[in-house]
Amino acid sequence: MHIRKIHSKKYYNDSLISIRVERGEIVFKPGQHFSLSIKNKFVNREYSTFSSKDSKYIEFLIKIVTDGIVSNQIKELVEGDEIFLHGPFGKFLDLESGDYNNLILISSGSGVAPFRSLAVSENITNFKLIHGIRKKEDIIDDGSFDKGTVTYCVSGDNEHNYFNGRVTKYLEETSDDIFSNNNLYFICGNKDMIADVYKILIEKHKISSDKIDSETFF
Amino acid sequence: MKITITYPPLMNEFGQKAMVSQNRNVQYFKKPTYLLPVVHAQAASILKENNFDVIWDDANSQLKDYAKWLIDLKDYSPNLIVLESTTPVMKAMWEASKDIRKILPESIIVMTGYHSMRSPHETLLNSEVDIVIKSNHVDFILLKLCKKLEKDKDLGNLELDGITKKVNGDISDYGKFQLVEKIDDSAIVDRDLIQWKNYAYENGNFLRTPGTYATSVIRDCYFGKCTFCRYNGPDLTFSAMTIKKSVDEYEKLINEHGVKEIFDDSGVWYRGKEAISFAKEIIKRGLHKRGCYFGINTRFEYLDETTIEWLAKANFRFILIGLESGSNYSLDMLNKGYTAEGIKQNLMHMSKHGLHPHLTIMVGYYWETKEMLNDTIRLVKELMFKGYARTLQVTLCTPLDFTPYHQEVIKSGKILTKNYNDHDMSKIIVETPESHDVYYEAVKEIYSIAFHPKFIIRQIIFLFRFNIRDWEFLFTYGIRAIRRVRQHIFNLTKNSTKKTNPLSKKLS
Repeated sequence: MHIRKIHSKKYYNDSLISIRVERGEIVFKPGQHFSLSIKNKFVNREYSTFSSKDSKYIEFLIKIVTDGIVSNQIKELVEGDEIFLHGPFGKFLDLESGDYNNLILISSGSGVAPFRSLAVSENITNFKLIHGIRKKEDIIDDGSFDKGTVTYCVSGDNEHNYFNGRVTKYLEETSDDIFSNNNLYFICGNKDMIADVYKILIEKHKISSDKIDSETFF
Repeated sequence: MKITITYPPLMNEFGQKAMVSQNRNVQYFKKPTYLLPVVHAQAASILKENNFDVIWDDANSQLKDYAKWLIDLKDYSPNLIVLESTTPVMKAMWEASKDIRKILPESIIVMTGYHSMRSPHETLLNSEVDIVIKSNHVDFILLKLCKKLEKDKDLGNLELDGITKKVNGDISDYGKFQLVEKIDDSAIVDRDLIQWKNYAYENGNFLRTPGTYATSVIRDCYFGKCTFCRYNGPDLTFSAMTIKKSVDEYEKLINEHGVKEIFDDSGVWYRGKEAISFAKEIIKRGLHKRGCYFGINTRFEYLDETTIEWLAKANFRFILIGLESGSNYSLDMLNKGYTAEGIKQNLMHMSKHGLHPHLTIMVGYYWETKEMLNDTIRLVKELMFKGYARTLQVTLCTPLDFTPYHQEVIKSGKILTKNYNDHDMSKIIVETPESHDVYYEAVKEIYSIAFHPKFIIRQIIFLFRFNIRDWEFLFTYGIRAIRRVRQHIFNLTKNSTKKTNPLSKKLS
């Protein structure tokens, strides 16, 4: 277990924050997650890293869930408060498993976290991020994905210049050249979105299931 | 098309039957424990819903011997026979497939289970199995398989994601199965089809009977990273059932079948707001006042006190929870993601609100020193004497089904056998820092807690809370547990070179 103090906290909107702690001796790979818990609360939840593996700090993107237990505890933390980290765990975004032409990264909500961690950690340009959000204000536009291409799918408001609808609608309708068994597909977000995306990729676009991996956020 | 999902009765040299225990781990017992294989029961149910002719043939729960099992199978003459196996009974299942082939040369034999799904070629090469299903979503893939075979019976033409097949000695692989269906799209277990009463009484987890297993709300695990657990691997896909669908089933089980205890054997049940919503829905429908207890598996640090309080209000009782070690080093090595302090605090909350936590303890890791073992014994004693946990079981950590722990011991050369039969959890099969007797003695010491005056006094103190479940626990469950302790100690220490059993006088 690693005990860390909150270095800083950032609010993106009412329901999305990030927290930053010193990385110290911790080594992780993009796509891995930690179990986070607050001192003396004895309840934990898993959060993927949001930052570069080489950064001085580890950053986590936290969706504040209505009636959620740990996310609301984290929201109450202030700089200097202690947080417990167990991990890192997992092998999501393991790129050593095979050759590929392009990485197609499909996410919704805070599911973008591991993809940002990958984009700012590794020197890769052949990726496309397809990210689903409810409002355009939910876009985290800090240049992290500038090396690749990004499509934002905004489903909860019409006043924007992005794709209008969910990522599943985009995948059904797009004429972009992103469907090939030479690509690798990574999906991260809520379980229903993941199931729907699998269905579209496998059944409609005939992508081999060996080319798809996912990480469920709850 | 006729399909049989079948479990042959397998017996060891001590005359004990292979029984599945928690999460499909096979252990041999003389006294029966009949656990419903839920996903396979869903598979049978979804096939029936799709108008296939399905026979549920669990020879253990139906009290058949091997000869009777074969005779019945021949009488059924199914087109497709589905077996399930795990490491310790792998060889026995290969032999069973050969016996099936002799009597039913035309039937297609399908193997499922976590061992063969991770090493399909091995099974195809060593048995008469035709198809290995490489997914735990046996219901969805079997349905697809049967629909394809119904259209074209020629195995040579069969192509399907998630299977490896053997035709005329040639093995073909069709990649991994990826779940595109939602778990809500599977079937709720058809209780008549699987003859639910066969599983309703001989199960040590039930305080009241008839009890039953719910259709699991979670397939795989929220966490899925514990190194020893089979719910850990890139081949698994987490999925969860909606609360309404599950509570609908509970309502039906209580109203139509008169069930008195329902256990959900999901690797890890709902947590957080889903768990609270479930409890509220149970209360809203009045199911908490119908004399039926509810039970679940969970992880430490997944349920906070508020959630636990809601579960208690909804008449949850039995909480099965893995306490793999009292040593923080071991917990780290196993990727548990919490510490011994978290274990204590969580159990304290459960006990405070009247739940009955049941600990599943493990000893015998390849790194486990005497000091680590003592940490476990100390912690377990503290928890049991303080009443933070009510019952326990101890298992010897046994590498199974190519989990990360299994692969670690193979890679490091710590495994002491290549015989899968030795993986039956009856002995330690890895090189350890201490002599194996040290771990067997630890097993005896932990089980002997049940007879310690401090533990017994604690149970009597519980009676003064005047909660009916505590009285039931002492007079019903207590007697049943004592009956089983003797068997467990025999099973887990029969390979000890120290033959004196400190409990032998008390138990004989």
